[in-house]
Amino acid sequence: MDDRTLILTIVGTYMLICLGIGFWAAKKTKSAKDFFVAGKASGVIVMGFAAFSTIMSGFGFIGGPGLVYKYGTSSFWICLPASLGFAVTGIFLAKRFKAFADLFDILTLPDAVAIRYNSETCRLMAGLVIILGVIAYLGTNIMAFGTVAATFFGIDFTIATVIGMAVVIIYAVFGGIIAGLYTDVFQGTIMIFAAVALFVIAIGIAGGGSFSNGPRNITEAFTAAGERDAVSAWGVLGPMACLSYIFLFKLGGSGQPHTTTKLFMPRDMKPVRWSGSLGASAYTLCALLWVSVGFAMKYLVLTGQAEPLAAGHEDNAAPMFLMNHTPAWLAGIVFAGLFAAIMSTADSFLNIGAGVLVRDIPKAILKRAVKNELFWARIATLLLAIVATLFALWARNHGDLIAVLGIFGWGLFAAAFVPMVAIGFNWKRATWQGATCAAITGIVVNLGLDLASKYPHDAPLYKIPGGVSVGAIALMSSIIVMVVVSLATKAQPLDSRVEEAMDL
Amino acid sequence: MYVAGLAALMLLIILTGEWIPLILRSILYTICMMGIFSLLMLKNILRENARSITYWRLYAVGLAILSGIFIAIIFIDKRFETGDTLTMGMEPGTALMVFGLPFFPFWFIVLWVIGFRASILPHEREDHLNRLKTNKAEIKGSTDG
Repeated sequence: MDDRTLILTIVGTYMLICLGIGFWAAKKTKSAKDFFVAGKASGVIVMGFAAFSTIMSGFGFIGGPGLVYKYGTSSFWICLPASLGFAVTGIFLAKRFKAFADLFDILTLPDAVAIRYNSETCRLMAGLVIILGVIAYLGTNIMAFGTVAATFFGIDFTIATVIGMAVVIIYAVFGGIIAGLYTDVFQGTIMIFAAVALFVIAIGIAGGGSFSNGPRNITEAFTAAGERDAVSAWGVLGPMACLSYIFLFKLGGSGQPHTTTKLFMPRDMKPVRWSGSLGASAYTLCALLWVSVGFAMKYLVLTGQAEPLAAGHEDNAAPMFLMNHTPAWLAGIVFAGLFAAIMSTADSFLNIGAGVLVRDIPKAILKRAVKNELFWARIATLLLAIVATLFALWARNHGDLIAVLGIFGWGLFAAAFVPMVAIGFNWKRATWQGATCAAITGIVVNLGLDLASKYPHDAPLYKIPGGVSVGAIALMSSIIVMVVVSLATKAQPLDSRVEEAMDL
Repeated sequence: MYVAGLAALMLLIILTGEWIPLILRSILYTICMMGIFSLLMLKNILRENARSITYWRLYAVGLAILSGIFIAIIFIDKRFETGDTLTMGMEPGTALMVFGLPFFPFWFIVLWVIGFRASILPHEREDHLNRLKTNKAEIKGSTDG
């Protein structure tokens, strides 16, 4: 069996196991409550793995090494302090969301928002933000899937995309979030193994066969090539950009609906207590791939052992390293881990997007819920997946468009939901007007500033000082708007049970 | 209120660009950022009895040390010159970042786990939640579950 066939066999086996879990989960999915929140009966391991594998998307496995290749240590500030992000989200939201899930009929994040603020406007706003973010996130993840398969396995982009999404659709449509959670456990296990194995190999290659010499060789090679900044503490982008990553990614983590929604799912307080530590540990292990592969690839280029990657194609650092510098059996497992990272994020997005379409938009606009939510949830998941796939296929030739929409990912969710959820569920004076204005501010600043800093290409309208990320500025702006508007509008009386849950 | 004030200060620090020297700007930004983290985190840690107050203080100490790590990286990185001794094969600031950023914040995770019943959710509060759950009158919503 040649290397390519071996890799494809391993990836194919992985896909079949995901399908098997989907069919198993379909038997356990009997209601909308099962479909959206796994019957609110998840345990420690499932919750911990789901939390980390949902956050670690294709961006972590492909984009992360690409960023290290291009900017050196700057992106370490995104991935290394993962435990801070898990701690922040846990402290802000974990027990409060569990209390809301226990006391109210909550299946989606906008459900909780509507109850907290006693406002259908807030529900609608939260739903719209989720749909925008889901299409952008899903689009970029599907693109990543198709691009890797097409570039490195020679499979047609469209066929690869359709096969990958078909697997996700089958297990997400039939098994709902139960399939999502259990495939997350399986996918998370593969991701950890892949990351640790690749870390050892990457640093060993840079060390000329000695693991302990790896960091020194990398530092010296970069310094000799005149690229010392890349191995300094702040990397090429500098301290303000790196500190803004901490703000955006660690505080912003508490505003990511695909992970915070999972806080409605624990069966009791045990997962609330333990799953954060499991998730943080697992993510930190996966970050080993992020920090090592980009440096190892660049080291090989600087020492003349590999061809440089073309400008704008730095994301190929990880796949190139896999194809040329790792044993085929391991490359197969890591490619399966890469597809796992993409698919575990995609299924969560499909689930929360379907929740908005079936539950939140009808409730906010028609003031009533649809009948037979489970049936319609499956239809909505299918439609959302088809629309996102078609969008990704169309956007393949519109790189700028996908990049612009990409900002509606993490930054948009952070700017909209940190004020509305992380602050709003901890501050009784927050009003629905404040939360709604903060979400609108998040959308406008994110998109406006990103466009202004990119267009026109030859002379952008505005350059953000210090390389600070757009999402961080949007998050600061939306926090300010949330507080100012809330204080400027009349305080809302709270439902007694909402008050009890917030006081817990 | 304080959180919004600190966020506004951070925006000002960014938008003033080169007017403030980079080191001072980075330190001020770090203080404001960690101020927001501290206000939001410490508000959620209970202070109901001596044991929970101890945990609250441990969280506060952790946040202060983490701020100190960020500021130390700023200074150490600034002082390093090419040719200086490396630490574990890395520049000293990079080594502090590589080992400090992933491992130190586990302090908060460990405090969360071991102090859960003292500082996050004492048994009596959980019992209260369970009583409310038993008596709940669900807000009417359509689920087929």
